[in-house]
Amino acid sequence: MKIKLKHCLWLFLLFVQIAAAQESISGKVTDKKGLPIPGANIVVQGKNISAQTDFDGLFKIAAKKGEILVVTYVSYKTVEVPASNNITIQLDEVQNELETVVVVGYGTQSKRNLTDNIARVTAKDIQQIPVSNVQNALVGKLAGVQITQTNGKVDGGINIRVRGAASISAGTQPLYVLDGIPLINDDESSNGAPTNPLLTLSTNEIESIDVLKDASSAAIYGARGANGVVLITTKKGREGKGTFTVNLSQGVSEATHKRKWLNAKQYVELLQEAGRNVNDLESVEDELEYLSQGTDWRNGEVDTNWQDIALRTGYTTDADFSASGGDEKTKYFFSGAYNNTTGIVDSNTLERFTARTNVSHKVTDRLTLGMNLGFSRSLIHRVQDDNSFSSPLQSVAQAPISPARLEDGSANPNTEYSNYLLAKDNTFWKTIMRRLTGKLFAEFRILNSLKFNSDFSYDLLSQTEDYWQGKNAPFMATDGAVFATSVNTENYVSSNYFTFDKTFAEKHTFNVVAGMEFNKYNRRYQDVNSIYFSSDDFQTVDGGAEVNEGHGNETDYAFVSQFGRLNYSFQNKYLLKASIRRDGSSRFGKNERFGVFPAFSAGWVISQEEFLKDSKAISNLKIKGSWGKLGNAEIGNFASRQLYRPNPYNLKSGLTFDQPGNDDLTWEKSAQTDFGVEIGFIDRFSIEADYYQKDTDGLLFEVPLPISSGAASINKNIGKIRSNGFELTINTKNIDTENFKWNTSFNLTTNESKVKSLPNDNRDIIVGYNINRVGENISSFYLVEYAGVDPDNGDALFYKNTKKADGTRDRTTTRNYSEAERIIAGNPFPTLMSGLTNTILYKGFDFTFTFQGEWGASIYNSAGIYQSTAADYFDNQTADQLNRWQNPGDITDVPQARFGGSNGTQDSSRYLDKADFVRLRNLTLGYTLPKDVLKDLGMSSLRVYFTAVNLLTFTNYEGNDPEARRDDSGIGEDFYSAPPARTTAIGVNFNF
Amino acid sequence: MKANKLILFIFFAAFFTSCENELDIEPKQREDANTTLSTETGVTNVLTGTYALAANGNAYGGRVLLYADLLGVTGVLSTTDLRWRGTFGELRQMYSKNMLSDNVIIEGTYARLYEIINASNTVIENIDKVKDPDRQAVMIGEANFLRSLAYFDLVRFFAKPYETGQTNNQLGVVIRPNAIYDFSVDLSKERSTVEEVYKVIIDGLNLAYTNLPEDNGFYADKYAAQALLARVYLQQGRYDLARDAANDVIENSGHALSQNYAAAFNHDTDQAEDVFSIQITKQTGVNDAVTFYASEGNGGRGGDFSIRDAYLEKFSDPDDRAEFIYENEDNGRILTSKFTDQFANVGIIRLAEMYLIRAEGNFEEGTAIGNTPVDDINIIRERAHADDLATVTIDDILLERELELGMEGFLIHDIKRTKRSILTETPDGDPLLLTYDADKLVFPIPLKETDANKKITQNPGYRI
Repeated sequence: MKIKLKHCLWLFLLFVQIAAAQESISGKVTDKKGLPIPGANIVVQGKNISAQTDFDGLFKIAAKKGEILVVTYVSYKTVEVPASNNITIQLDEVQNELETVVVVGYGTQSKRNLTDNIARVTAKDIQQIPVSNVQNALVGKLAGVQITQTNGKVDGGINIRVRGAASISAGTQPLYVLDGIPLINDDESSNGAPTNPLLTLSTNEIESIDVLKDASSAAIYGARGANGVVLITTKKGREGKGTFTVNLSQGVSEATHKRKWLNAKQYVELLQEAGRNVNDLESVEDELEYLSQGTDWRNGEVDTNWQDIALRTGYTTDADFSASGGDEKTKYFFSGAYNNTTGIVDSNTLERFTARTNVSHKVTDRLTLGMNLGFSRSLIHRVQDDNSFSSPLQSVAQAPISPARLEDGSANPNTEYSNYLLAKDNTFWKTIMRRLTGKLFAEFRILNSLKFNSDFSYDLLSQTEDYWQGKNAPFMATDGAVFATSVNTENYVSSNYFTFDKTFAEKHTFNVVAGMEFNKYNRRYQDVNSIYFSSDDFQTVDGGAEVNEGHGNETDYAFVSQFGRLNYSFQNKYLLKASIRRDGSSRFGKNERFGVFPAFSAGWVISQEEFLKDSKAISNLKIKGSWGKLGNAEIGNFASRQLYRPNPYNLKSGLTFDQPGNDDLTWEKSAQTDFGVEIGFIDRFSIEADYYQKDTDGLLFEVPLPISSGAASINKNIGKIRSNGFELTINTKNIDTENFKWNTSFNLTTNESKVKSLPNDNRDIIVGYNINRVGENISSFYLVEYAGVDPDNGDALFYKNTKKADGTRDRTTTRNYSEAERIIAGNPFPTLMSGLTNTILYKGFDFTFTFQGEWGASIYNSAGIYQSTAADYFDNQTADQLNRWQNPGDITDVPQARFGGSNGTQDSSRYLDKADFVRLRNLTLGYTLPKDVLKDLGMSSLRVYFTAVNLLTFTNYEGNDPEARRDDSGIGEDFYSAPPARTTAIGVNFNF
Repeated sequence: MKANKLILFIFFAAFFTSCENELDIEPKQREDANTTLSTETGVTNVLTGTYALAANGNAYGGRVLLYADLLGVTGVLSTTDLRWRGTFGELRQMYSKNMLSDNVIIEGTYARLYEIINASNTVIENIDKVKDPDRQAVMIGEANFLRSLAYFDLVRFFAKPYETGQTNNQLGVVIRPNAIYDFSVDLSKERSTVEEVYKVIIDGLNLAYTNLPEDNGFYADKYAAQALLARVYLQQGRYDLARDAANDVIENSGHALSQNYAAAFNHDTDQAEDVFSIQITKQTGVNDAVTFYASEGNGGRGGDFSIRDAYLEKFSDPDDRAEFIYENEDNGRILTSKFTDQFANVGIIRLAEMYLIRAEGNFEEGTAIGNTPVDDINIIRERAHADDLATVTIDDILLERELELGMEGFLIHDIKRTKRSILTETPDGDPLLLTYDADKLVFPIPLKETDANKKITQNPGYRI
């Protein structure tokens, strides 16, 4: 190892400055309960002398008796007392959100002196919401953070966009950091639909979640901060009497909304009409005969509601406990949680347990050691992805005249499409995610004002999948098959950093952090497939006569980083912050391997100025601004390399061109500017408003190539996008009395993410139904425009939209789809999002509800070309197809029914719909029993509650649900996607 | 205290040392292209990989064959030889002759064929890494064979038909004369003419014929090249050249017809009749002919493309070939027995085709090189236990091709080269006669190509 002296020089300077403290006055700082407060700041009034308390709240300061000591600590009221030896100073906690401490990278900071934009939720905001993943509990509670569940499967993916997209082709998900550990967030699913690796977390172990949104806060995470950083902090023990908490709840769920489909009678009527209209009634009726399997389809003998079979009533059970406490040396927190969710999608379940222990111990006065360790196991029974015939939701395409099951109870094999019930009865897809996340940490206090932290963290995600198909599974020709995968992903991180905290001359407060981090990641994957089974009793690889396929692979990446941060405040009035991170990663070519990510911010707390200091009306007024650079490295591990991959032929080894290389490939660089203002009135009403602009340059792009070149795309750093918008948060205490409290929190975010420039002279990039075009929203829908129905003959019409010589578009219509040109038809992402949370406490009752709204997005139903075609084929149709054109003069937007006639059934804006919605996201009503009732039971509190998720939805969207999106591919697309669950639950909390 | 500080200093400094050499990480499942193309093993493997590309379902694993029959049948229930009932809308577009340029199945095949072309070019240009000159020649021959095979299907599907006896200046497909290594430059290119594409195909096959040995295992050999050349000449209407090439294969290749018709199909390893076939194993390659023609029990999707009476009525009685079918008990569909093993090879050229080409060539030229047309036809018929014909007309020969080669990827190409028409229906159910050169019988250039290749011209009849 070679030592780079320049990195260490500043460090050396720090050491030589270490000076021995003089002895004089000593004392202790505690809170009201007598618990010590470590890290409190003590200043001798009028002198340039200060000290900080240690872990026991003890301090020594060079002061004479009688001199005034000023003691300050975040979240506590400042106290001034005359100095005396062995003095004990008690601080009162203030219930003021300004004193809230937020978690920043490698440390914490009080909100009062914050120049960053950080959104925060704490345990009380998210606990007991009956959803199986943590992210889902955050919806509507954070300004500037859009959280979208993909669909209603229990294992469904989650999309989080912090202040809009910072990328188009590279990753757009934020970096998740749990107690300083960057979490593995890889989708390891093999069946097309994603799994959410953060499903392994339980809300009961989480103390707080802080989302770093702006460059000033996220720049400390450098090359991985461009999509925002989500810092998850787990609970810790506190000194004092131990507490033991138990929570139990049980819930029921249904789909938020189901689409209406034709019943048997309507289906037959529409198909016969469609057949007659093309003079081919015979072949339609032939097929109806087959589909009905000999039942009397003309009179509706069988009327199967396939959707009701695919979407069922779900159940959730949650049980968790936690115990915490500690003494002056040792603090502990233990927790365990169990979740059992039966999804609303048939055959889809989750069973999870999680456990955590966080322990710290003071070894000496200066040294604290500790360990956080959590493990979890999530067993998921999954269904196939949305684009699979055996996905339950695709059964809505089946004819209602087809029986779902035969008389003997077995699945009917003779349906139009493979009957998913065959898959239900004869296959399973069992996924187990096991996760172990741990951190061993040491904090060494070199001086009262200087400490050194060293953390070693390890994260392991071990996922296995077992896909069994029995003899009678759909498309089975090998008497059964078993596909088993195993993947182990490890991430280990060593972080070492110094923190220096000191106030000079009562005025100049410094907080300096400097350190390094090394992060190495390894992923190892194996799968094997076996076929030819003697019976369905054998459901593992060993049961097969032939192991016919197997794969194994491994990949790594590494980051080496140095970082530093300086916070300076002058009299708590003028705030300044600067940070820098240098990141190196194996993912980029040697020449472009390192990036430097600086950020600066400044704030002016006007309310601290003399002219406002005594104002009763304005309790806080701060303006702030920041600028910084961030990177996005989420483009795969070897995206810059020109590569060949193994591709054997007839069991002989072969190689095939895999990926065009680009030696100049490097990070996406995002520059973000933020201006904000915070205003507080009489401590009851606060407003925070921010404007942000995020410019991403050198966008990582899979630039489409002419496919006649033999390659589909090349990775390039080219193109720019700009996201900007406003964020507004208003918190009010409407009523604040002893027995009755009512708080309201409202947030509103606007976001626009536009393409500014693109590769190949701004050539449009079109992927599926989406286009990236300069000046337009990212991934806009690009479709032929549907013009309705010709009243004279029932033909579907399209706007030609061809460019005329003068640049305008030809708005005449055509019945010939090929004559029409595509246009920008909508935005897959919302431009306005809002959340409103009310919390009302009245005596023992607590009542909270959150509304969430999104506006501006559209969803393209790419299954519309099968579902809403006025019986172009035998797929069951949406009920609105009954409005088809029948007679000359009919005014409708559903064309004449023509079997096989492709009358308006091509991809067009006909299947695009606005997805604006307002939703009562969650509601909780609780009652805490009076303390005197509980005394005899040995409990300190008992609360019963009712809670609900997605209780009400207000929308004009015609599809299943504005949050039902395709899970195997596509952006803003619905393809037989399951609506989310509406869950209601009742529960009880005990505290001992 | 001083010593402690020094120790601390060294300790912390160590943390700040450069771990930067940890950043040099090589991929474990991929190989850098420079490495691959700098060794003999690498270049040899790229050639094998080119066959592997061809063995994909969307190329010679089956779909290239399927498309020819989907496009060739009428698609009208009362007249169609084969009925498409599969759920893939993209394939239904071919059946109903209403293809769209965003058809992802067409795009997949187009992309795959060009991958084969670029890989072949790469082998040819890097052949100097192979030491043995004999081995070099064989590899160049194989690469040329595969490249010509890919261009031939591209030009037949994506361009207007070849018109015999004139210069074919209509647009063919993009020719990539060189391997592409640098993808960061603009790779837009206009299509060459049909004439130019056929020249590339024929030059390549002639070179392959010269370079390749008489027997090359399951890889392409001399007579695979000659047989493909016969097929190409026939498509051009150059009957004399087609006849001579076919005759060479029959006379000299050592291939022979299998004892009975059924024995010509469903092979795990090549048999005497197989002139060239794509090798499928359980691990490598996909037999997509089985996917679309077979019952679920035989590894297919239940019989997406099933046989109708209109086809069976074309056979005289007796004829083994009319009996070489089965009924899928699950749904009553009549399916061909040619594709019933999902791990069997996909036949690309079998010897029976050479007899049919020689017969047609001799007939058109009024010659009897190798054999008379009627005898060649009767050789084929006798193997199927069908009655001999006394004389043959051109219609007899063309019918015999349908009987012998049905569902093996010939129908639309035969219709086009013999300038026949297809009587189909409009979406409204009105009769629609599509002539051999109709726009609707030509695949659209995939949207993904036209979106990224600003120099290319779309086929007539397609706006986007």
